[in-house]
Amino acid sequence: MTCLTRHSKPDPFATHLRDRCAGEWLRKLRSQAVPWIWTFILIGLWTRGVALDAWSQAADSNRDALFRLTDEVRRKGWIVFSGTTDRGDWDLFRMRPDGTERQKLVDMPEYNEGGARFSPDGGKMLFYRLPKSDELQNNEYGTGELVIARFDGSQPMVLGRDYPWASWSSDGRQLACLTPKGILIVDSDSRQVIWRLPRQGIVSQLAWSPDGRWFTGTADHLGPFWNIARMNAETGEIGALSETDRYNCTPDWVADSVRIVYARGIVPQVGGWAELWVANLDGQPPQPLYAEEGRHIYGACASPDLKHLLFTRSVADLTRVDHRDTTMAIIRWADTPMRGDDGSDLRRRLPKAPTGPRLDLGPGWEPHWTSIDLGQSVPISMIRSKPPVSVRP
Amino acid sequence: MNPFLLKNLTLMLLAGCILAWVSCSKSTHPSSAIASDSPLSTNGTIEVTAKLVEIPDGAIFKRDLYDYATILKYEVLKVHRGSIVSNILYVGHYNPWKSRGAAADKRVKGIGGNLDQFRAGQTHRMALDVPIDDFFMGGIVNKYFGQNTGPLYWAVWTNLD
Repeated sequence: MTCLTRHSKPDPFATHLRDRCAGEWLRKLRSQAVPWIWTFILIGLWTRGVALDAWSQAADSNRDALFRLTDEVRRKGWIVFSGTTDRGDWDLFRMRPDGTERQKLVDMPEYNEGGARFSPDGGKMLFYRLPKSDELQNNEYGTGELVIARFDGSQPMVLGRDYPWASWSSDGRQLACLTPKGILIVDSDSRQVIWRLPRQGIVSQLAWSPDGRWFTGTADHLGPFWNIARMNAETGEIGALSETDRYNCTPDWVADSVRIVYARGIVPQVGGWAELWVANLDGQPPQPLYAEEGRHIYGACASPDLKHLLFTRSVADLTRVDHRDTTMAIIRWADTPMRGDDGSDLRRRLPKAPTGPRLDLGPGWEPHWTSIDLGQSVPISMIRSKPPVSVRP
Repeated sequence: MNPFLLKNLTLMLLAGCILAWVSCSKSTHPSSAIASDSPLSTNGTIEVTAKLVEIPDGAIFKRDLYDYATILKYEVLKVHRGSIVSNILYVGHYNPWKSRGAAADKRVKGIGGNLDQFRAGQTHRMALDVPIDDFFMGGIVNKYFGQNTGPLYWAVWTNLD
């Protein structure tokens, strides 16, 4: 071995030998490595091409699926929902289920409006209004002033605060209202109380089934927390349809009067995200329909033909509604259960669930889907038109 | 002055002073007689002094935007007003993570008291209504669900005794 020190002279022969060896080694390496390098480059390019192609195909496929979904729902009636205005209040808007023709339906500048529901015959609409100073809350909007108007928002009548959580009967002639003293069945024209039932712990979000035989609502006394209840409208017999180990809310009937879509809530100490689930009157366990790991899913509503699901997505817990992060979306019921994202927990729970297609409809809260043709109605302004009729109970 | 009369007067004066002192010292204690216009006397249909037996795990939590009542178990020590069917009561307190003085809000009005924080073993003097559903329409956390609790009471006013 040659050992060079700072003070030793370099050996010319050794230097020559070293350079020659190194040169040969480099030449040998180059001649052997070049084919390998080219092989790697070609494999890389091929893989990238395949990946890009697959990604492109997937993107095309997703886009096609979304187009098909959009096309499916385009002419299926209207969606009515609450949305914010430039004034900072919430008004009622309408739009086609594909997100087009978005326009204002009811405009009350001094109030926040929400909870719109059409009568089964499509002739009338009920909704609630709260003073602009009152925040909209999922658990409280139904305690505001009840307003009944024509389907296009015209001829509004303000019935006041004595009709909380009102829901239409199957023939549209009566309203069921949820009061602390019980469920009151009220004639929608005369406002006379026809009969009453004990509320059996139902506390909010009352909804009368389309066939008139059942009520649903968020209820106490069916478990340690609050649950989705179904109550026999004739006998008052009540039971839980949701899991009873967590907080559930915002139920709504599916048009078949057999299923209820609702928000399967969280356990406060544990946290998590509210998910869209369906419960069944026939006693089958409730099933997941749609979930995300970054958003709460509330305000579920099935399309009148039972083929699609409409809901809201929000980052914040929707007990208080924040328009900045509350958006609406539609999915196909046949595609459920669906994962809205690729979160690991959801992937573990629902490994075979697709992640789309989901049609995003933009900002909105508490939507309602109707097959009624709302035509070309114009927005009703309570300020610009004649004042609403107030009716005392 | 007659010495006998003087002695009696002195004794009566002394007794009066002692009574006045005892009366004054008692009035500073929370468990003393409640004035007839006190919220404890004027609210609800039942008034009891009761011991808070326990606070079940998870019965009291603070989560913004969740307004709820929680059911707590009490052992009744004394009934001041009204009647109860058992000496064990299950009482609903609204937003129990708040001090009673700050618990009333836009949704639930008229409740209150001087209790700052619920702790197992405390003795509370409470004005109650029953059943809870007639006075509160909101979410109820009931960790005693499935047990034979009898009627659930609604706490209108809660003072630390």
